[in-house]
Amino acid sequence: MMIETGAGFWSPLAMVAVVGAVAIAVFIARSFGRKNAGKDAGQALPFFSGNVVKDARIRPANMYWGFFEALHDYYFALKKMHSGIVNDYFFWFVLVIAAMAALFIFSGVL
Amino acid sequence: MIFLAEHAPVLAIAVPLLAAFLMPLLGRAGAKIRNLVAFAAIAFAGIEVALLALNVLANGVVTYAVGAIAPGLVSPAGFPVRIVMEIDALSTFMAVASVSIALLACVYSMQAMKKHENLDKYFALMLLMTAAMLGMVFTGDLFSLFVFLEILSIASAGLIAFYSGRGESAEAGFKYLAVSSVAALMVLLAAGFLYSQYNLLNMAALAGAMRFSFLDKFALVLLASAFALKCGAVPLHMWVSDAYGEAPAAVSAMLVVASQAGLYALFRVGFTLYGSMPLIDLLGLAMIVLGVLSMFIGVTMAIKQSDIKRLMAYHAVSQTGYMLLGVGVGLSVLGNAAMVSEFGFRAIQGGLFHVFNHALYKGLLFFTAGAVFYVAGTRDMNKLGGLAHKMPYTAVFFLFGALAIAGMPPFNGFASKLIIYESVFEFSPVLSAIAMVVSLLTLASFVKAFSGIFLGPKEAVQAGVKEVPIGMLAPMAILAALVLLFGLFPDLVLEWLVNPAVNALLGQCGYIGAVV
Repeated sequence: MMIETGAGFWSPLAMVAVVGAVAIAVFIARSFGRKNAGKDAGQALPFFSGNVVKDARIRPANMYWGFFEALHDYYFALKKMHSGIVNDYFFWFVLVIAAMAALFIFSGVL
Repeated sequence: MIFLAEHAPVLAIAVPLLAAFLMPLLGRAGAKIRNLVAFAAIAFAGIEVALLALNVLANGVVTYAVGAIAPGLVSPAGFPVRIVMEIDALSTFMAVASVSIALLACVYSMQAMKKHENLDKYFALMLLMTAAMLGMVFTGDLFSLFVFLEILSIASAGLIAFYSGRGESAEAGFKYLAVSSVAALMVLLAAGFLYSQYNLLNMAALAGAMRFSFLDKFALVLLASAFALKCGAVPLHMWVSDAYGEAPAAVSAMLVVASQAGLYALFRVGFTLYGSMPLIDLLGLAMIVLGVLSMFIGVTMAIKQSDIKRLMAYHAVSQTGYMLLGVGVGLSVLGNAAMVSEFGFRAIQGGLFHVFNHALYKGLLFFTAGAVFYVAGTRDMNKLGGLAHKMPYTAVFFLFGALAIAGMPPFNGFASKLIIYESVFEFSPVLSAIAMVVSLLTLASFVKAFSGIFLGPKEAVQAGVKEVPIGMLAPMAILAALVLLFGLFPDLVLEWLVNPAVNALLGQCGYIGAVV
């Protein structure tokens, strides 16, 4: 029921019990709210500066735009690395073999 | 029953192998008979693995000499020349994960692949993959390891290129075969280096005889690099996105456990074959570097993808990083008993637990991706949306898998990641922080995937879409239940599978002593 992590422990069932108790409290609090809220009140409709939006979805391609812009140079390098050319795959393989061999040589193991 | 238990190591491999070659014949008798035999063969292997696991838990390392008068004759005159299978708790741990996913993938395929032709070959290759994975984790012989690695690679390549009408699938199959062949060649070369010095191929005997010469150490470099490539560690991961992305969904799930067989070989070489080498901690450090690179580059590549299966493939790379990090930390402190007891044991425990968890939730995620492709005919998330209206069960199963991979409680991914975070923190707080940031990015990536595929208004193009058949839902439901069960009761897996496997990794003498 519990796992020791060295720094402490983790009890999933205790967490589920706490989340359950909070959920019940939220449900009770919600039951005191207005009964006519939400449905058919226009609250769930998407809007953009007061205009009707036909395709209100944010497509996955448009998500996290700022993140990708901020890491533009990093992604440029990654894209170059992932060329899809098999020769490049072998280049990386040889590089890893060389790096591992060098690690052992410079550490005086070989 | 005694016969089944006594010959379990060889029967678990031989039955799926034989069934694989019967598939074309049985296909002529009818699809139902063929499917039933494929399922029965993997289920039989599963029973044998369970018997073996119980035997190993009760009696320790199990050895089996193939072709000897009696299976126990592993070391005639103290010189092991036979093909010896040696099964410890680490082997059974990996075998349980492999055969469970193979069985569910087989059931899932029966429905998901129904419309396709050449299913005799499909199931034959799937059975070959199962036999090869079990062979890799059961063998105690370096040359047999190479043979099973080759069988696994060839069968996998055939399945990756199964949609042969698509150029991309053929290309992915070719790339996988090319890189796998070179990796296997390095394993063969390393085995040759060792055999030339010691006249031995048995890993336990080699570990006992090893003098750590220049050639031995170069063999270690070749073995570690080859298995790092097979498990898809950055920067040797380039094949993963193509292979996982283009293969049928059930095959992608099997490729996850196939890659983990490569990871097993890396751990076996590091801990058992070279465990007593001075400065073996350097291999641990190399694994940590590969692990951190895999975690970070894997997740940052994943978050950019718009193809759902390529996104999942890069996440597989990222999750492999966690396993390498955990086990690498354990290996890097192997020579220091105090550190092993302080955090090394738990780091390996976290890494191995994550291997098991990853097999379950990534299998589940690939099945859900296959279900989406089955009904919508596309993997492009930009063309999908609102599918939760039509596929509520698949949406819930996807959510389970997504939360598990992101390390959200109470799912199983959280349990193993928590152990990794806290044990790795003792080694280096920076590494632990990177692991946590990667989990946040994983969550962001799956928020994008879930909202892109399942949320939003109903799309007009999906008018005819409906939930997938029960044959596909059932394997997903089983995996989703296990993902939750092992998150709520992690001690079940830790006590019965993971802790014995960690002890097996750390107890090199037990593995050597069983043969020599």
